[in-house]
Amino acid sequence: MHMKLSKSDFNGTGKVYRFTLAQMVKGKANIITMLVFFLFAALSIPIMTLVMGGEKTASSDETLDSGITAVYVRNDTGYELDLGSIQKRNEIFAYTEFVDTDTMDIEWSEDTYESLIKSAEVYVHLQKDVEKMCFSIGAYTLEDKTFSDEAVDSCISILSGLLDEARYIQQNARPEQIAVLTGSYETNTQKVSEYLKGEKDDFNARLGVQMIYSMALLFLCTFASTYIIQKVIEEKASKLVELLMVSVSPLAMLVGKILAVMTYIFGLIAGLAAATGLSYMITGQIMDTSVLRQQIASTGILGGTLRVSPVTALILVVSLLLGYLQVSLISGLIGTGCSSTEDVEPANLTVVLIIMAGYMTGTITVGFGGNPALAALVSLCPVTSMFCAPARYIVGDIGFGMLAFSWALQLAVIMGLAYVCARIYRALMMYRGNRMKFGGWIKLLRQNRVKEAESR
Amino acid sequence: MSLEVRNLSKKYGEKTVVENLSFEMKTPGVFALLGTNGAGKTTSIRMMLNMLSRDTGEVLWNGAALDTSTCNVGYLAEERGLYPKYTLMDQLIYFAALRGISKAEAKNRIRYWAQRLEVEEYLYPQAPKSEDGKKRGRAKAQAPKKADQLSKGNQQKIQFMTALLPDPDLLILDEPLSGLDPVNTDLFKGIIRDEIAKGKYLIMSSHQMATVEEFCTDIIILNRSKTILSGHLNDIKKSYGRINLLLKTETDVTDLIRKEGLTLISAKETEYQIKVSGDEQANGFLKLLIENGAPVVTFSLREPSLHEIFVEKVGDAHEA
Repeated sequence: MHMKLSKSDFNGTGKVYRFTLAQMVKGKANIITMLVFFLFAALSIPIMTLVMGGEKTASSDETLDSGITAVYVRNDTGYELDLGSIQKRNEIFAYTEFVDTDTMDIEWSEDTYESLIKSAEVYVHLQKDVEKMCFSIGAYTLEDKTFSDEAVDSCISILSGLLDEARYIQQNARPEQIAVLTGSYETNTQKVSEYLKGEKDDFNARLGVQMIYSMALLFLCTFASTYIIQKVIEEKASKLVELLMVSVSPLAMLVGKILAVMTYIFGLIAGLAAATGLSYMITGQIMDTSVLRQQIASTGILGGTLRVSPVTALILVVSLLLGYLQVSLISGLIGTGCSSTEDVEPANLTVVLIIMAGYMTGTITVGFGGNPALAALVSLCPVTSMFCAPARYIVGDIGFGMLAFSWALQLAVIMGLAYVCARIYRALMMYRGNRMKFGGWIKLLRQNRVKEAESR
Repeated sequence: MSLEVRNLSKKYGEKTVVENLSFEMKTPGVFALLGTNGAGKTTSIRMMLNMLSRDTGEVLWNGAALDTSTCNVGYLAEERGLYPKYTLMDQLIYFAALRGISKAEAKNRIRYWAQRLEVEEYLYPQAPKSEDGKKRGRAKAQAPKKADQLSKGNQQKIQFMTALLPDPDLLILDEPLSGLDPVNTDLFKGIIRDEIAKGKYLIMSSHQMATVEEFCTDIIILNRSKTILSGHLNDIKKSYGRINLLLKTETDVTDLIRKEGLTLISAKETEYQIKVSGDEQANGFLKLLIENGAPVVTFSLREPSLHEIFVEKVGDAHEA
């Protein structure tokens, strides 16, 4: 009997694939799972938008509106403020009217002050304290305001900027000088070693990328391993193996299942992505989804320091596929080493432990920053590499060369597992007894090697 | 077509489970693989079908190595199995597809075998009918049956169907009748007879010697991995000669049996089963009965049954 992979080892793969996929799609539990997932994906966008405060209906050109209709400005600083320029300068106030109370022809008294402050959405009072040689800006709003505190803060910020400009103008500063004096700041706090390497403090972005990728792979691998182990053991426990092995090679039985589960899960992921995208588009028509964009941007994963491009999607798909194949083959081997359905749980646990080891290593080591040695180690080491390599590439810890090397090693692991399958899978299929562990595989491999040598 | 099995051997560690099994089928018929429990019958079948690796030996179909992808084999395994939660129709179409049968053709064949094996009601569930035989207006058709909704016997019929669906040239049946009630046993026997009539090559493993005797032309008896007897069944029986005497008298003749030195196998009132060395001894005993005035009702001399040969051979092997 041959011990190496040949084309005949895969005879019937297509039929096993079609049957497994058809049964997966027909399965009641899978249908319910799909429906729940799609419902969740469809509802996630509107729910998140509502939770994040994007409930207000807005047309596309109003998405950046402060929500304030009018701001009454009482200016007691002695400087002339160009309130009319605010609408042009800052788009969130494009629909906000800034009213100078001096132009209102009001006789200031306690009564008028009180009536004005009660009628204004926002009442801002700018004052000059001659004794302390400073300015104060007070902003007062109604109890039942409909706009955010951030909008009021922005209002104060822009008025303080106008006041600064007015002071510089009074000192005869030219526009370019004013531009220099009022230029904005970008702040950054980090270790000197990181500064010298030109790195930015992007921990949130690093963690975000690692978590999102790891979660996707974790979901993919856990689902796949559970399904494959269950089906392989079910076929053995229900004594179907002999019936099937007359018609199809054992390896084709495994490969057909792996491909079917892969199609199902990747199809599910693509479907979920499509459902989420559709939900985003529809939600955007009736809600302000910019809050979601802001929320994602706040994590830093859309920042310029990350390698995010259309190619990233391809890198992620290749990495997910490699990770999936490794876990699937391990699951197939572990599952086939079992004989009864009682072994499903311990077999699953073994695979879950392997997956969790990779997942936890990936997540924990993000905390150590961009240590190049550590990044290389976790990106190349089997098990951890499938969780770490693509994420580390995206955050810039490793280059494409290292990622490609990691892929090559993962491919080697897959080939190694396929080699083990080719040698012992048939024997494992017929194996009956206690759950076979790693030592048993080695013993089987050795026995087959001896037989092969003897047959030469 | 011909089947040739040469020197099949298998060891698990130091334990030999099959040792140099060889036999040949040059013409269609039924070959019986007999043996005690654990003698190596199922292991031999699994080796023949390439499910288990062989330490030595080869299996030739028409002179070439038997390959289930090219040789049309039907197999009813001793360990019967079906997917418990999938519908029967889905499973049967899948098993047929694995043997290269198109879906449309598979459906035709399934319908035929469902009728023959009397399992149509499980494969083609219909809407329940009222007492007058008419369909109820709003009654829904029953859901397609799954394997775990069937009795063991009906599951066995479905499994037998999977072996028959490819219309195999070589049909291997491992304990085909075990666990069946007499009605279904006859149903299976009828189908086996038809397959023999169609000129199929059948290999049958069974503990039911009467069934084997009914169908098989050639046998091999295994005991503890070794072949202890093989050949054409009639030749084997002839080689033993007519040594079984069935005697029924109207009086007790036990003393005469002892006097003649014959071996009494069993006695029930005045009905005896006696072992003789051959025709000459039997005729001498008959003469003695007549001389002693014993009224003989039945005097039948016959060859040993397969059961008797099996027991004798396996017993001898155990003693050895």
